Amino acid sequence: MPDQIPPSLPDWATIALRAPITSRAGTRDRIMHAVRGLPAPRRLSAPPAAVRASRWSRRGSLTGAGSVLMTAMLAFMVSVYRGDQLAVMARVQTSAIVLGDTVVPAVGAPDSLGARFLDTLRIVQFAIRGPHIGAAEVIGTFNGWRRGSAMLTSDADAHARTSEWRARVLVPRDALDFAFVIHDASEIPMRDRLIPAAPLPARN
Amino acid sequence: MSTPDAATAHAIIIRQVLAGDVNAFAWIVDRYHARCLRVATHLLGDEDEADDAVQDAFLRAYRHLGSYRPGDNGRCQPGHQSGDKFGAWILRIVVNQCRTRSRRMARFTRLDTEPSAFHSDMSAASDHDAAERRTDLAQALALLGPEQREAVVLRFADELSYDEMASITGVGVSALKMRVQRACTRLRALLAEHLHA
Repeated sequence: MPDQIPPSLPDWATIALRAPITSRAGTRDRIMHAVRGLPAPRRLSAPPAAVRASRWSRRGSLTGAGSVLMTAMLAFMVSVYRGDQLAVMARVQTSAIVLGDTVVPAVGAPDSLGARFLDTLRIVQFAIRGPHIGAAEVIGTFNGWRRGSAMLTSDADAHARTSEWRARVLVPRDALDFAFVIHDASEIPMRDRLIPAAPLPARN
Repeated sequence: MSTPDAATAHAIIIRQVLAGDVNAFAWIVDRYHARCLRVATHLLGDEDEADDAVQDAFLRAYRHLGSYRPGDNGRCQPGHQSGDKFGAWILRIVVNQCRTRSRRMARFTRLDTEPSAFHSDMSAASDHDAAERRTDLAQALALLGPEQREAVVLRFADELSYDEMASITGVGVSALKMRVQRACTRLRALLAEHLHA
């Protein structure tokens, strides 16, 4: 008998609940007939790691040695990734200079209904200088933080240790936040990573 | 059933079924049908529906036998008659089938407003009073909410521990204790009304 419980029912009710129920005649044969019509079941086998992951998923949390190991691995990966980012950021110099407003007149024919002036854009030159830069690009609110739309180019010799990479981009006036991406180690956009409001002073 | 032997027997039977021996599944049907039918009948309050629910549950168990893992019902207590994990697994399927059918039945209005008394083996004794009491019990169970009915049936009809009930229903132990407590109080009141009416 399982653990005794305070709530109880009258004895006759408990006996009635536990009394066997008479099943309809031929129930067993009917079930077995239906079973024979089904495809044979197959054992679902999964790798032990998948089974353990499934248990973690069902529990909703990691416990025991698994949690310690997983936390240590994640912490190590984050620290390596972040350390790589900081090392890259310490080596390079970046700049974003507003060269001036654009003078692009319109899209489409001047007298068409679809014409739209683009004179609210600014020309911004993004530049980055540092050693061992193999590829660089700039992402920001102006391109929806999408990769691959604003690649920086360099004129430096392929064997040069330090190189300077540049790109001129048309940027809307309200798009201020940006970040450089170097070798897939992206800089986190910081407060000083804002495109300056004023254009570069004209040279005399 | 002693747990190690039961586990071994279940493992052998399951292996045979998975190897393609359909007739080995008959052993499972023979062993668990009465228990499942008793629970389903009390849960649904209708023998025909219960019979169909149990049949569907066995077909479902057969189809998903490959996904059965003995560790799935880890809360079952060894050494207890109802403590075999395979039985708890099948009972969980039966309870789910009963929940589905109960929701479906709730959409329809019964033409016979009183649930039928269950034709148990005790009725062979032609005890008129006992038959009347079983009718009262069936009516009182029908007046309980589905959650309370499920809790009280699993607790008293199948003699499960709260841990086993929790693994079958997916409800916490403390919530189940509360449901059983309230269901017992309500059942006692309902039965007292019926008996004194």
